[in-house]
Amino acid sequence: MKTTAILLLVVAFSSTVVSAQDKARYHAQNYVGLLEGEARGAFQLQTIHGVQYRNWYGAGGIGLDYYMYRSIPVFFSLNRDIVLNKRTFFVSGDIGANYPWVQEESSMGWGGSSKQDFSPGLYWAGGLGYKAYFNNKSDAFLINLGYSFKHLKEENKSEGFCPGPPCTVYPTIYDYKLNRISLRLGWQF
Amino acid sequence: MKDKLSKTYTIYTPVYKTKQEVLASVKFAAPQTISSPGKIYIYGKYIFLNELNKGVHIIDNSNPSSPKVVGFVNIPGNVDIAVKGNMLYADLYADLLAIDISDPLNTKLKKVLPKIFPERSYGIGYSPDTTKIIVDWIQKDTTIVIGNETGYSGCPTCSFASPFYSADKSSSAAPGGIGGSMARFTIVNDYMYTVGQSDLSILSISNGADPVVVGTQRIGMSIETIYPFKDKLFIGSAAGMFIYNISSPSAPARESEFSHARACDPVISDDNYAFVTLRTGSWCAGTTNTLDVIDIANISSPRLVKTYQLKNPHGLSKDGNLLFICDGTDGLKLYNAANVSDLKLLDHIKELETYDVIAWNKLLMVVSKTGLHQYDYSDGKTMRLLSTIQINKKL
Repeated sequence: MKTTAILLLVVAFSSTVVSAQDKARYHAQNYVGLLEGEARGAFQLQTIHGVQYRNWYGAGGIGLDYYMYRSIPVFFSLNRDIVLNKRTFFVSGDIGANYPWVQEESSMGWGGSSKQDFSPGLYWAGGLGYKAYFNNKSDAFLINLGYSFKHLKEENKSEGFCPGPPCTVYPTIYDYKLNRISLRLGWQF
Repeated sequence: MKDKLSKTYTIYTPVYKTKQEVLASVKFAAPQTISSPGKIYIYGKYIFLNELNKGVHIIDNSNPSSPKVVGFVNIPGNVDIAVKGNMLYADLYADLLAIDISDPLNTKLKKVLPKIFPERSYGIGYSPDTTKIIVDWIQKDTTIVIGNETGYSGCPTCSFASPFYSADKSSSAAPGGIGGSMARFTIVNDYMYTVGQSDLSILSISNGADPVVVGTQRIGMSIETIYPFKDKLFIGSAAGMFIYNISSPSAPARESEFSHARACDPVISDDNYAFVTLRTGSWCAGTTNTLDVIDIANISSPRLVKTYQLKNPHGLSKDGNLLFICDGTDGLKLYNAANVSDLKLLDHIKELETYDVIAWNKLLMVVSKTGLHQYDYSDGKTMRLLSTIQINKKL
């Protein structure tokens, strides 16, 4: 899946297709979508703001990603429009960092306690989309299907019963590399 | 499409010895590197410093500017210590040992009282060989690929490895020894008082080499610390502070209690006020990180005077109007407490993560994450570093 996404990006960015706009113009893309992977499917939200120049759209984005652990991807996004038979398709690529929504959690149970520290990791995504322009040639409905990866690390420090410090801490490090299919529906204006 | 989840943890394999072997090894040995300092107890020119779950370092403090680690008493599972006269009392997991330290460089085990601290046994799904004692753990890091687990589901290898109790430093004004405010043992005259998770045990030590249990009282849940002042015991629990009258020393009687938000709470007192630090943490629940000053002039009805916000306060100590507070990662703080309604910060040492402190005779002993530090506070305003015994420093 990763290879397919990368190939799509390469093909798109190396192709010469019809130019769309000669002047750079601000656009925002706002998405809602689903993420489906080995873990339970999850919801995602993204807002991307940047500039369209000819067939290229470069932007910065931020989102909410509820897959396994809620996180906040912050990324740079690059899109390439491909116009075929007057229909505008686009290839998208995002890369950035994935920040955990919760940085730190503590819990206490019978006979011990634990503390979880989450740290950020890589976020990247690639996809193929379709833009359905409205009459004003600026606003568009977006649909995008692709692959999305996010990485998180969790360090869990547990203690036995320990009312007085220093307490012996037993760390366990969890490493989450999460591969998902991403389907997004959005609105460009 | 599969996720890749891995888990890196440490496998702990117990190292056993027979009880006879362990008890035979409870004696003075060559100095060892301090790696996990726990409770401290001052006795004469010596400092007894607990090495968490391993034993007790003996430090010659004749010159506080240049203390010398002179020996080590090997006591597996040890976290609490107290001293009276020539006897060192120390826990060995669930047992209490009486060790003759009349010559601290030639200690002798005098008595073993079994199962005084039943909660100090192992548990939580792990059943060690009960005929033997765990004296060490072999650690091995390992990484495994795990299934699609979402979130922490418990550490299968660690709960049994953890000591049920951890370190303290007691603050008894009893003759012969001085400890810190996080103690779970304390000595008043001919009696030793210990707190477990829910019990107060009373031991007669009129014959120091032959301590005898004279009573046990169930006093509540999540008991943490014990501090003596005159004929009172101040007991800190996660839910509040209990005051016991020990005018009849073999039968402590509860006089009053002061409830507070759930938190860990070392306590000290003087004639008029009790000072309670409340802290959160992974073990300590709640959200409170404060110093509560409680008026105990009417002992039957303690009254909150004022609450001060702190970062993560642990142990504390008081000498006259000077109040010393270990504020966890925010270091060590010295306050002028002449007016308890308006504490004035006099000095603040920020670079230490401090656990507990004993202020005694213008000499301050502080246990931190990095070692044992001694300060001079004779000017009544500042803390001047005299010496540090760093952890993990080869002796």
